[in-house]
Amino acid sequence: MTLAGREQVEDLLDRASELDRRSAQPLLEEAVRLADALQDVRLGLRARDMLVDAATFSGRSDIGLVAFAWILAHVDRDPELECELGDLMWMYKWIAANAAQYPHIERVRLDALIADMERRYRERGLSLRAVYSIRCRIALLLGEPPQAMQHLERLKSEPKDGSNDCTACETNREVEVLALNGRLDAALAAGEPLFDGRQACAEVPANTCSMLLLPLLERGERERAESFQRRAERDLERVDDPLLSIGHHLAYLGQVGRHDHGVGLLQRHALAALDHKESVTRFYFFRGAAHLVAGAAGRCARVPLAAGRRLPFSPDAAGYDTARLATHFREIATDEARRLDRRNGNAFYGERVALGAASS
Amino acid sequence: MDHKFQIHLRGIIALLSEHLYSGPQVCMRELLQNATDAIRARVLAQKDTFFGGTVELELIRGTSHLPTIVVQDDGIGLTEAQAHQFLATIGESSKRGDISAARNEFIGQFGIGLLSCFMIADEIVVISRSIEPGSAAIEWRGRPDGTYEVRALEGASIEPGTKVYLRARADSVEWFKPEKVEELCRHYGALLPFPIRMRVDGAVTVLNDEPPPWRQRFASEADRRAALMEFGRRVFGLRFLDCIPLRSSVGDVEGVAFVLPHATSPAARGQHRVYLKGMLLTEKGDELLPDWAVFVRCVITANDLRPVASREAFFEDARLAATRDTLGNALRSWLIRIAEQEPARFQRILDLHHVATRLLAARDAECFKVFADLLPFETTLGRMTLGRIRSSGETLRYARTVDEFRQLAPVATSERILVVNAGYWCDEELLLQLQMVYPDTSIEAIDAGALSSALGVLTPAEEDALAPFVAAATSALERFDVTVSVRRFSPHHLAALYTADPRAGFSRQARKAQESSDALFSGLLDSLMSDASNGGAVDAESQGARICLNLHNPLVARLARLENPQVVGRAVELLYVQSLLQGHHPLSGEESSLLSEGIATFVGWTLEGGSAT
Repeated sequence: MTLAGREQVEDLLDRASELDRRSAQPLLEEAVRLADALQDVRLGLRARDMLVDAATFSGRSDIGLVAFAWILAHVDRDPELECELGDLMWMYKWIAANAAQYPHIERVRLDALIADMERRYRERGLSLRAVYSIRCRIALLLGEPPQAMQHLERLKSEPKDGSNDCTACETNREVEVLALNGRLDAALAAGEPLFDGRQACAEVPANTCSMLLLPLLERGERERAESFQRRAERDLERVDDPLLSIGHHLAYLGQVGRHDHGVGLLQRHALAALDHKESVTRFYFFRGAAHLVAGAAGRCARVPLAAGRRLPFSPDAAGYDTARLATHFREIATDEARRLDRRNGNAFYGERVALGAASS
Repeated sequence: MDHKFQIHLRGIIALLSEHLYSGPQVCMRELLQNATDAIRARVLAQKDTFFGGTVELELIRGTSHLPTIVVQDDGIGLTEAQAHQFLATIGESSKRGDISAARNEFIGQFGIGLLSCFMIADEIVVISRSIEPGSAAIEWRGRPDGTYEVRALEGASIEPGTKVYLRARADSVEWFKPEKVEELCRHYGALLPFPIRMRVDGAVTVLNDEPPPWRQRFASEADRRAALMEFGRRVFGLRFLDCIPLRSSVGDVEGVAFVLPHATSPAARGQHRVYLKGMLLTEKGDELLPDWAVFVRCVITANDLRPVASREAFFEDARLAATRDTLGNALRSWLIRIAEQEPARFQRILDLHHVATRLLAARDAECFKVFADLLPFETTLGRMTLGRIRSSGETLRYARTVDEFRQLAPVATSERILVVNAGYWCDEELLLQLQMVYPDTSIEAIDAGALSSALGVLTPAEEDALAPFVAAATSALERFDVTVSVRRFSPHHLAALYTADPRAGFSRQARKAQESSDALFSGLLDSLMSDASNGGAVDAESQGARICLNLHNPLVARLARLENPQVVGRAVELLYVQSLLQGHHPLSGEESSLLSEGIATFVGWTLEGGSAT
């Protein structure tokens, strides 16, 4: 191990700590690589600790999972290393919560993952409140709202001990579960502390308000939906990976005829969405984008979009053919829905490709 | 039989202090708020006869008793009935009803502000006389246990207005120190339109004697700018780089943005000082400006925006959104004007705040045209501006990720090929915006594998001659899932170049993690790596991991002539490991073994006097 090498890693970590998560991620991946090349386990641990956070919250939870697997393996081998981390079990929550985003991770592995997480929580004497919250989240991603409701009830009976999510996130979870179970009134009532500002965190209530846009619109509550849309769009500018929620906005803006605004939003996020690896996120984003662009086709023949070479067809000077773009986006959403439903063993996502009664 | 809810006032106070108010200091804000609201109400009611409006604070200290603050205003005052209704009914505000028809006049709309005083005092005493003809002065005493008393002060000669007395609780004396009271009054009320006078031990100080500089007249633009900059220094304690006047008729907003003298990141949150009708609302205020405006810190007064319940932020509605657009346009226009007319001044800002300007240029075509060419980029030929990069007129090549740039940099630099590092946040968006703004521009994403493949291509005859060599190398490295190619490139000392696209890089990290993982996580990682075969979101241009052997390198050239596949295989294995180390790729267990076994083999051959050729 050279001093210069170690300093190089420390410099990367310092620089990364001052950046937003997306910008920090390549620096942290480099820091991990260098630390491993130096065979410095502790430095590799610190770099991965930061990388799990940066990657998970900027849409690369797969990279986060890889880094976490390494961390967990080394902590299992040398338990004293755990005290050099921020909070290992808190990290586990993030990893477990996002694993279901990948349809190539089989259900049996997801079940084993959450069981392992529960085992470790019990070993540490922690409340299972966080475990039930993650079970809830996974059930939602698997398209099983009734099961999510069961986990929500179990969650509420478990004590709070600091290992559980923050109050705002728990409220958001409850709103999400109730809304996806068709209990919109109860969802809105449960979400009041979020809507009036009593509870908030980095991503809440931006994600909450986004998720409620279409249900509110379907029920005729246009004014409230508009208020939610304005507020949430603004708040999402501060979220590192807003794409799933942006998808709700795109769908909503297409529904209410605000195509110009929606296309502007699409232009800002299309590149990141085309590169995104999480299937559920891709589903919602491209479902919304397809609906928006299809609705805009009657008003403009071309949509200017900075997509590099991510699309299988080329634009002309004015942009991409609107109808063709809408079709392509719909294909992406349909493809993701098919992969997710195949893994999940239901038709949850397939039923939601088209906006309608089961739109959220 | 109907019952009434039992209100536990102490509990409500605790709830408010925990969830609504940011700390005991807000009670001074609430007192100032109520005083100014009362004055505004009187101005509204007596617009033709009342032209006053003063808030007076007195701090009464003594050695034998706890200090007392007295806050007095000459506003509209309260009748006895109003004291019952508004001071002791939670959720009722004197600012509703008839007077609140012009609701926007009052910003203390929620009627619970007075309760904040119980965070520092065990009794609130209010003496008030309403402007209503025939009203007697009243005295109201409230306590945190929920009890209060009201009595008329018949015959007392008291002018219309209100006096609020707070005696410190023993554990809150800190909040009654003169310097603390003055600090809080200046902090919250510096821009109030009514004078705030503070009396301590007989000495009177006006705490807000100077209007903000954007409301003052100056002899010259230079004087005005100097006054604004000095104002910024006093408020924030920073010597800013520049200042930008702000004004929006929507929201009735005015103020100034100060350009920060240090770099910031997109993750930085606003630290703007925002006033609502002269009262400090928040020191965050980032909802008032676009997300790219991280390079400024502002002092803003708003008169026509709606606050949330805590009165510490604005409600997100159409008016706020329109205000934000207007203020964003003001900053944007200023940047464009400076870039066009004062390039040296703009360059100073760009040097510090290129992140903010990058973000703006990536999103705004006009801004892009004006100053994108000044933005610096990292390239294989050194750091240079986009303008200089474009000046050759050739296809602009860029690496999409930092890792890809790092891999191709050694070769590209040696070959004097210009490749731009677009791996940092929004850099690729900038280059794509370039193509949209200037459609004739040709840009191309390139990775290390594609770069090396394009260099020193062999003739068909050379390829045929080298086929056995490539076959032996491929066979030796087959288990590492690496594609082997042979080229000629600089630098000559580089025997082999290992490149991995993002997918291959991910698999490499995943396999490394698998080496130490248990069965559960090893299986999860297998599933993640199987994405390509399951038809996942695959990058269409994925080329996996590649090793390109350099015929310019003497060792490679010599190996290519050998007819001993065993020797070639062992040598290529060592070159493979060498290329990994040169690229700072950590070795897997198997690759580490390759290194030691390969060295042992060659040393053994040498010691045995065996011929490797």
